[in-house]
Amino acid sequence: MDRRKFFKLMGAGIAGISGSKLISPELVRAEGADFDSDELLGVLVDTTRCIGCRRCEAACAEINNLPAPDLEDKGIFEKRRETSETQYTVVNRYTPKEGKEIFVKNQCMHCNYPGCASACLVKAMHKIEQGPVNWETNCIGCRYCMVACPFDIPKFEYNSPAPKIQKCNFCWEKKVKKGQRPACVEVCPTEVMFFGTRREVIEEAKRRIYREPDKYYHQIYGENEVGGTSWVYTAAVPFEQLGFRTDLGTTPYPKLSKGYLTNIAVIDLVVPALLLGISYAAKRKKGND
Amino acid sequence: MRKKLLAFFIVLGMGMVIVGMSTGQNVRSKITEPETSVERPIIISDIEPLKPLEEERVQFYHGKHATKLKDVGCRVCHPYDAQKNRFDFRYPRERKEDNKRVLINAYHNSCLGCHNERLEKGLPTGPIACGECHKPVSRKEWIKPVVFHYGLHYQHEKVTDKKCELCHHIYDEEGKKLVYKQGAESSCRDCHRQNDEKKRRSYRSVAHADCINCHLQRESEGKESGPSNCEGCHVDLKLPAIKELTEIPRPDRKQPKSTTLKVDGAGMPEVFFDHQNHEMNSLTCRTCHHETLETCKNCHTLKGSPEGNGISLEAAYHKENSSSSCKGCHERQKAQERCAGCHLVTRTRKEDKQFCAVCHTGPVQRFQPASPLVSPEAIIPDNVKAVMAISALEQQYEPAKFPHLQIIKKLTEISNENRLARQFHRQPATLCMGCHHYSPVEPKSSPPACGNCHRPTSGSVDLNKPRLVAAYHLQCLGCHEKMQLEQKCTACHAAKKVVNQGSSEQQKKQ
Repeated sequence: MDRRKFFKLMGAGIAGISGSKLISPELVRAEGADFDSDELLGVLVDTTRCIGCRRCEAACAEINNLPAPDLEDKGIFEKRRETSETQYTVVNRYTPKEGKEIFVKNQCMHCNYPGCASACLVKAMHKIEQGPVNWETNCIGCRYCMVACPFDIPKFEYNSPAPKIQKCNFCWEKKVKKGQRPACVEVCPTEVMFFGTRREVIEEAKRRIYREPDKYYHQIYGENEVGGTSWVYTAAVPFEQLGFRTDLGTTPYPKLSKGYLTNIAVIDLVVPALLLGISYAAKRKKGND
Repeated sequence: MRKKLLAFFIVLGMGMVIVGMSTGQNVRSKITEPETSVERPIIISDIEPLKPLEEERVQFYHGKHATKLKDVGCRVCHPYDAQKNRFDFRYPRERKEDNKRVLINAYHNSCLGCHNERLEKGLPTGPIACGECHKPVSRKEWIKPVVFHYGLHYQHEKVTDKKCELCHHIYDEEGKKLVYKQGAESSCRDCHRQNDEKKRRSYRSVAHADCINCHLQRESEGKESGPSNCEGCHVDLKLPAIKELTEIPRPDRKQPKSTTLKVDGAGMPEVFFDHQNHEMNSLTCRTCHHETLETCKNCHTLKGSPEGNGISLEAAYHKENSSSSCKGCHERQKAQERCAGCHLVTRTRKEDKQFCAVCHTGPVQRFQPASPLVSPEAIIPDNVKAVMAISALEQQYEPAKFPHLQIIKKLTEISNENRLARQFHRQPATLCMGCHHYSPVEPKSSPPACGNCHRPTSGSVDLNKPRLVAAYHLQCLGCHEKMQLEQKCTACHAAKKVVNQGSSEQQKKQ
């Protein structure tokens, strides 16, 4: 192998390694947004205040043009419900071992480092600079985001001829962008939800726990989970009793796959090049003989 | 006739089946939550010398052993002193706590030795394999600590003809023996602490030894006696209500009926303290006095001292999260069902000087005894209706009917029943502050309406101020929850006759 060829090979290797960055999750996120900043928008859900009236479900259905739920049907609490393509938010009832029943509103948590966005092939799902995790019209329906979401939130329109992913959109286009509060926050009769910047939201949660230490379980769910989420929760009992996953850790989901995905690209480009090089060298040796 | 008989038997049979099923269910529920020590193990907690543990803690069926081995007697496990007719409730017999290995062997020899011996003799016996005793603890602790309250103390006084020396003693340094001294009685825990010390055994060990031995002896003599099994003291003892305690003669240790708490060098005026009344409102002397039964200022000095655990006198009286301080106890009273509606739901104004003066009266002559509040009619303005309709937010429901007068009457009644409330609810319009927080309330004058501060619109985002609908729901429902009242939506507002499906259509109209 002469000098020129060696440099050619090296160049190809380096290009391969740097090129692999194109599909590393870091760039999937919206550009220019500061994701460790606390000035993203957020909502505190104080489950100790919820009375289970499900007005939020109705308001959500109305603003998103979804079928209106039957609020009089109390039997709906018998089974734990998940969000669906026609219900972006659901209220569930939990009965802890001690104490009275607790209602918990579930919807997209709008993670600081969304796993769904990093999994999206076409960059349809992305984190908007102000905090909401939304998707654009170019969703191809691959459903990778459903697998990537730690909270099991994105749902697929299986019944539609042109199916897309659906989930809570933080009322971004219709409300929040115009400086209003999300529909569910606005309608709640007991102000379960507090809307503000994420910094304000966390501070308010801490203040409530500090002021009434006996009333609250001393944890803000979403403060650090999977790198922090825009929607955070406070509760009177440990969160695992309220159907929350407490085994998620504090590492952002995109970070979990980053190293692995990067390595795949390296292996794809470097190993064939190496093998080709060896084969080439061996052939040449043979030819020399 | 035959048919009738047949029908009778069929009905009888069905009845028996039903009865059998229902009792069967009872038995099943009993097995899942057994109450006696025969069925439920005690978890060996005497593990301090064995730490760090190499195996799971042992769940020991004391009751089962006691009933199965009744004819052999306690002495099969516990050393017995025939001269004194006393058991020593140590286990195992040979305890050497300084050596972990020796202690473990002693346990194993005692338990397994007996089990093996019985097995060889063909008698019913207990487990022999390791995992049968060293199981992961799966049950909740069911043994409750014994609270030796005034009622129990009086019962013991009565039965023993006031022979205080049977239990109370102090150590005489000169004579090197235990003597009884009248007026110097203290709590057992004053000397007998958590763990065994050189010449002082732990409270746990002396309580078991003295109580059970005395009970056993009296039982054998045919006298009235107390329980000698686990659940007799640790489960079955029920705490008496305050009402019952007031009828029990107060324990006599020459304590004053009332006193003035006055400390030289303290800045605040002195406090008149009704000792007798406070006795009736606690279960034991230890509730306030810890173990020592000394006066507070002996240990808690103005600046704090090592004897008082570094807690100053001010903190000893005012620490809110303490179970022995004045304020801590008063705060807990406020958390009761009937008080919490006002005290724990709304935030009231900060406590002012007048508040301190309720206790810090200065000379005794200035102390004002508790006085009941005046009737509600005397303080509410004349234009206030007895039942108000809250219609500001009317949408889907009829306006909520708010029984203003009835609520004030009930609150006045609750306040006047309670001595502590009578003492602290000084201003005639105190009770108005439960809902009309922050705004000063004078009798016969209208405070600002809720909507004056809490705006109906959702425009403003004020951390401390919920909008009107939330303010109503949080305060009304908060109080209803704390006071265990009705919390259904329709209890306050009836649904409108034209029922809309969901709120969406309703809102579209607006």
